[in-house]
Amino acid sequence: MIYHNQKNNKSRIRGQVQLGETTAVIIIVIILLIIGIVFWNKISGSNVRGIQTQSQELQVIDIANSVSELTELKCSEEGTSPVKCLDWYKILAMAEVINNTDNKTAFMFYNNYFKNSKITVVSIYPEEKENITLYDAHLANATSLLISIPVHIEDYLKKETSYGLIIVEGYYNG
Amino acid sequence: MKNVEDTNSQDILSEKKSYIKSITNSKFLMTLIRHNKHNRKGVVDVQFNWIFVMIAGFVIFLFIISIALSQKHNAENQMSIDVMNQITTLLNGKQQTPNMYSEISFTRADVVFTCDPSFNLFSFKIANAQPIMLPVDMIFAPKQVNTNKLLVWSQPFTLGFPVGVFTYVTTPDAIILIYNKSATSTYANELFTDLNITSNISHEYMTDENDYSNFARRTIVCFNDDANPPSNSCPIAQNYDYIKISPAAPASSSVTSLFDYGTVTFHKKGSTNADKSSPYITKAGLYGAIFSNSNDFYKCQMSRALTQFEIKRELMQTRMILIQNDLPDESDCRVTINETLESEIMSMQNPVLSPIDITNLYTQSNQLDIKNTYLALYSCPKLY
Repeated sequence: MIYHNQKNNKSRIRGQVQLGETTAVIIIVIILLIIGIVFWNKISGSNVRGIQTQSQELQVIDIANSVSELTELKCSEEGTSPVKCLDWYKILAMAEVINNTDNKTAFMFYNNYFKNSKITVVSIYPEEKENITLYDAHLANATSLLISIPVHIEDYLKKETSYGLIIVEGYYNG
Repeated sequence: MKNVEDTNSQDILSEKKSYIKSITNSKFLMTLIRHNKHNRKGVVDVQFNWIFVMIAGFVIFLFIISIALSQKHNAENQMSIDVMNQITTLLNGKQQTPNMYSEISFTRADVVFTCDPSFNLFSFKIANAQPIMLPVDMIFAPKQVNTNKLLVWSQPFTLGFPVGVFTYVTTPDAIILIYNKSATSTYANELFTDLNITSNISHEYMTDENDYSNFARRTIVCFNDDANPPSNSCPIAQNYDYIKISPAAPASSSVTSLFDYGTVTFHKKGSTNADKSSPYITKAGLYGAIFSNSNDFYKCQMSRALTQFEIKRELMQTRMILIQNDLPDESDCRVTINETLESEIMSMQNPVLSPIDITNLYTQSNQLDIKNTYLALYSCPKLY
């Protein structure tokens, strides 16, 4: 009788040990899975952030290139110079129309080109004129990437050529 | 006495034997029972293990399958996004470079182009991917195509001053069939020659439509032409879809050019509704009607184009006012600029796609060209 009781106890203990082992294995596997998922998420998240920053920087470069190519700003006669030529009165007209607070149609339209940026035209030589802000998305609390493109500025009325810069500040959440 | 004792002792012995036997039997039974219990427990154990293994295996199998499926789904999405990015880059590039032709190849897919007239928005998508909005691009394309290649061509849209670039999208299995039954239509020849010079888009004079059965999409273009008898101007209405072009005769000129302005009529065979018509202006506009092959799509894109025209017109007006203010009062340049502002620029304000506005746009844009040449001749600042 005692022998049988001992045997039963042994088998129960063995069963309990087996159940414990199984539970432990399952718990360990779950913990490993959770660690794996967290790790994977962190890695893919940092990759996505990297790609996002890169694409935002590329976007700023793209905006800078497109500004100097706009027919709304370009000179009537393009020379052979590799430096882009902008018409002074077209710059003034565009600044006035885009920054018109009563009619936002032009601002909304050029927002598709200039997105989250600030575009300023600066005349440097022979004389420094006041900076003209063509477009400003007015984004606070954002980092910015600044790109300058050298340009000729043609004044067809005074028949003067000056040299200046288009400064594109691209805002993004870095 | 001895016998009695013997008998008693035999009885006790037999009793003992039977007792021992019964005990032995019960022990055996117990052992048997225990054995049976043990066996059953073993069987249950073995069965439970198998069930556990099967369930766990099934779960793992499902997990692996779901990973494989999600990877496949992601790969497809990624491919669609890559192709859409390529197409977007190509279409955006065309917006800055008129008169360009290019092709883009990708895995065969459904490409859907949508123009929403209520929001003036154009978008396109591939298969089930999210649509990409192109808010400033003016693209004329069929509404839906199943293809592995897109042919993209562009033309400048100019109404005196440059407004933008019209981009045309088609597929290699599409052809423009120019109807010229009596071979006398000057417009048919004009269109055929222009397509020959400027684009690589498939086009032929139409003889019999069945000759072009290898082309999935056939756009028949016919003309309302004085040189052609009316019966010969377009194919039989019941049998064919076609686009009828009716160039207008400008009041100032006796010669009508196909690419000035006029009306396009979209005819659908078997349709009980009346044919839909819209005005067109310039070569870019006419090709817009031909490549979209839908009155609604064409009207939607032209309405977007005219919205852009108004912004460019306003820029031009502001520039001219600024120049005028900086010119001396008595200068000829100032007089001409002031005249141009009042008679042309102001009168082109807020146009819509109506025959009256299109005629006015055509007339004023021609005047602008004349004034621009005049200003250049007199060393004044040019309009554009």
